[in-house]
Amino acid sequence: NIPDITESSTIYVGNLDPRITKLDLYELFIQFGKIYKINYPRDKISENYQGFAFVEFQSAKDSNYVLSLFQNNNQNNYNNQLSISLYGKPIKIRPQNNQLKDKKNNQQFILKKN
Amino acid sequence: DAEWKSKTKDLGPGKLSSRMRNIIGLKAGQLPPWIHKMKELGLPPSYPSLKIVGLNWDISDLVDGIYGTLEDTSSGNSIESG
Repeated sequence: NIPDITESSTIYVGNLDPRITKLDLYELFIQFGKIYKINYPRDKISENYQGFAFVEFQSAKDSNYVLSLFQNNNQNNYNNQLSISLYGKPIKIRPQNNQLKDKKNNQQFILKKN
Repeated sequence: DAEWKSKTKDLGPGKLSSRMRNIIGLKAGQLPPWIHKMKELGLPPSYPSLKIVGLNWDISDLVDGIYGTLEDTSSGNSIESG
């Protein structure tokens, strides 16, 4: 009963506290599926993490499972919503936008967002 | 690389370090917040043999940092070192 939300095996994780390390992300998301790769970009000048990451699982089955975990799929039960807060900040989980697949497009995404 | 491999080799489903439990804000004996959703959705597709507390593993098995276990995997003997 896991819906196919995305064909991509990668998810976007946002609202990350700068104290979160790549290893922390690995430790958390390995709970939900086998991880292929984590892209956790830093600012080129300040070298601080930018507050978001792309977690690539080994298959789209894994990413769909994670997206389902964070979805409210029972309208009658408000407690159904999973929220995970890291250092008190609730993380945001979204399907990877296909436009972001290419690293070169990250810059465009930031411009669009602002 | 080799350094990343050695850092991640003891990490896996069912195990949370004290650092991670602090980051999530889990108190001693408290289950991770995703257990109730796993009950509803079933186990992660990558881990069909996972046993977790509150789902298919006895609550008395809960010790700090370990809320589940993977049965019969080649790396399964690393659990004691956690």
